[in-house]
Amino acid sequence: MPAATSPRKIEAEAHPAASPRNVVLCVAVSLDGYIARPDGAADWIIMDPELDLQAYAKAFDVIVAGRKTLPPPKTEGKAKGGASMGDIAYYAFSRTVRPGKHGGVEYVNQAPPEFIHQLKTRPGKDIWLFGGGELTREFLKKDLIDRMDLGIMPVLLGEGIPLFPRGFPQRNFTLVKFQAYKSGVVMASYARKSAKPPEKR
Amino acid sequence: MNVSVFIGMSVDGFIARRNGDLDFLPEGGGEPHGYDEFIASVDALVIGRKTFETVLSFPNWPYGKRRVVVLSSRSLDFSHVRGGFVEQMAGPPAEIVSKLAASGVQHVYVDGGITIQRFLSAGLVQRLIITRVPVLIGDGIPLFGVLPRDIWLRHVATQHYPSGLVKTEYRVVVDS
Repeated sequence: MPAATSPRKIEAEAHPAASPRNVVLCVAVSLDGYIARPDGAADWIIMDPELDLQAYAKAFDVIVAGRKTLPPPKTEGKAKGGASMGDIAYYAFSRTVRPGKHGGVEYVNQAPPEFIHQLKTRPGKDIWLFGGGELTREFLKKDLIDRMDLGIMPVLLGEGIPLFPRGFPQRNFTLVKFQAYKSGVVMASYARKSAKPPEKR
Repeated sequence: MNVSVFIGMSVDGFIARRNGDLDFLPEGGGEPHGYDEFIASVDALVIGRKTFETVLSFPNWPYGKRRVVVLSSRSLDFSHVRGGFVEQMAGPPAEIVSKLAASGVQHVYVDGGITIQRFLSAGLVQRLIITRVPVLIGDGIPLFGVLPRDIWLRHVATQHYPSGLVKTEYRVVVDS
């Protein structure tokens, strides 16, 4: 991967009309804020047939997650700088795993701000932050989350792996959209609160 | 007898900052989001000692003439309560619920993080009305705590408001 040298940066700034790539945190979460049980179990997640994840995924060409979050995806299709799931490049952040492609996953050990900055200087679709909690906290510390699309499950687990572990500064959002489904799942979508009016979806 | 929870929290699940501040709530509590209608349907409130102390610091007693039960095993000083009806009880949630039902109370409003957690844990809450404020505050007093088992909920209704508040009402599913 080329270093973030000046020519690339200038190129990006010369094309301000390029549509911005948003980092979107999209996860299923219990009403009491967990993304998994303590043992990692996700049995409580309702796969609502009304929620078309395939259609949703079309807005993304990159998924980023922490090392512990996802099993390696099936590798089909070409790898465009990342292990691919069809047209989505999948990157796992890890400080311990050697960077590069192993077991169907592209591991990166760059600090998130650097990595995201590099992604954003190239045109592309949105960037899906799939969790886990620790990576989400890192992103929030550096104010890297542009939007949150939270699938809130109608359950209280009482314990588990938190989506928002403590240790990041306050971040303000505006509500963009919400929808309640027959399954009891509530999808709430929030955009980072900024001086500019939020972009309409 | 029904027991309800009606409370606001940040998206990361806090009902107040660590020091009790509620500054992240919209100004003045936000636009009306059904609280007045809700409180009108309540016969009695059950709150814990911490909530009682917080409420004492408000300029006016916020519960009007509604019967307020403060749960504490320590003795409480009610001398500064002006224009309200307040009493103390001690004992596990189930006992409190029995006593109130026996005195004719039909709708109890449970408030305060610890008290809500105790009543939820004991399986005594029927209705949960949660209003989510569009902010992540990073640390504070959590609404939810440990539970003896999963609590499944049935979604009743969700509404959103101009300030970005999202209010969702759930019924607690009772295991048969």
